[in-house]
Amino acid sequence: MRIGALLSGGKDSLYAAWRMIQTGHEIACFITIQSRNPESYMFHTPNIGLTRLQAEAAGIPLVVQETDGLEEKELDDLAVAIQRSAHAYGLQGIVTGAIQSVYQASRIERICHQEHLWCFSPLWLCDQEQYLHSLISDGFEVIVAGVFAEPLDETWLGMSIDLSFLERMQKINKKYHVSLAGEGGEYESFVCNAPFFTKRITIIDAKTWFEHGAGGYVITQAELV
Amino acid sequence: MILIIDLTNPDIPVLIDEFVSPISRIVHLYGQKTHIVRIESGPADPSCTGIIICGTALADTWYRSHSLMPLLNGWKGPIFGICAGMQMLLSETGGEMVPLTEIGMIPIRPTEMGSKDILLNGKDEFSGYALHQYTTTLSSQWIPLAVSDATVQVVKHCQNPWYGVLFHPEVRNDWMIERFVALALSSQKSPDES
Repeated sequence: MRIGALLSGGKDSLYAAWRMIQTGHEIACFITIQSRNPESYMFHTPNIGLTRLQAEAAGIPLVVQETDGLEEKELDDLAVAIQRSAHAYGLQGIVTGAIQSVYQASRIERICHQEHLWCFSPLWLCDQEQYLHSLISDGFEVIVAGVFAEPLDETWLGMSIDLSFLERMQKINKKYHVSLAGEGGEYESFVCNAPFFTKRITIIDAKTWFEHGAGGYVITQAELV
Repeated sequence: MILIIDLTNPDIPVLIDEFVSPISRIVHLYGQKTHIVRIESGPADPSCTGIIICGTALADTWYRSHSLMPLLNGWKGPIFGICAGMQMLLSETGGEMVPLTEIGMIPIRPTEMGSKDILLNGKDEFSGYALHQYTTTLSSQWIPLAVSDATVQVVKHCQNPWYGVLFHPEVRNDWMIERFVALALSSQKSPDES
């Protein structure tokens, strides 16, 4: 099946695309929604502008749709992007990295239904510990690109998502019930390398910020190697 | 052991991740082993304590050209049909599938009968995650236990401990699966004993 993968730059969207590839489907294009609203309900993620490097690393075309990021209105922009991509690349389905968000999943399901497309969320209700283990063992190189919940602080920014990260998160999860995969928006991630990339992203320069319990790791310069 | 029936399109194995594995995980959380079989496989293992029939993707209509009955093979023990699983149970016992699309969280209201049943006992109105293109009419063998604005959402068979749930209880309502597993354990009857 020819699939369009919704791409935020984070681990969940790229792992979901990888799962589709693993099970015999073709990722015909990536679709990125670039929100001008930092409070966007669905689409704001740090370093969204760098999805072009990820698409290039994977050798997969990228469709970018800008949105003002206003609640519900941004869904119209998502619908336009999916419709445009479906026509341009002959898509039969869309894959999302949704894990538990009914808000996100049901809205994408509705758009896919209107466009007569399959909708896949292979991480839906997954065992998050098992998922992070698979992410690491499958060769994904991922960093923490934003933290938005206590007790995550600036020391986590730019950290690799590896076994020691998982161990730290497990301890926090027991005490604070922070989602291991960051599904509740506790942290955001950025993928530098994936098993289906032919090049990896090297971060040359980045700026970190942290205030009022939230922080970001903003990549200001990066290249494909 | 709970037998889990997978009725997703076999050409799209990734659907198992989304519609079958979460059910199996929930059953495991409640301390029960599971055995997953495809709908096309032979008669159900009579040693299982209950059967859960999983749903599938909104666009997946593969199950509509298949039948549950060869697998159930006269089974009269506990069954819990989810979404497409409920549609199959009802349509193969005298009901008829009717197009009706519902997507997202919807209000579910137990009927008077439903609020007395072990599956919904003590529950007032709650929200359920709907993801379906069809509903099913009820033959006289089935009793509605809960409804939404559009259709019947939870049903029970008049004679057998068979339940159908049109929305997806694995999303935010896994207590229903827990209650079914407890019911299955408490009945523990093989088809020969029932």
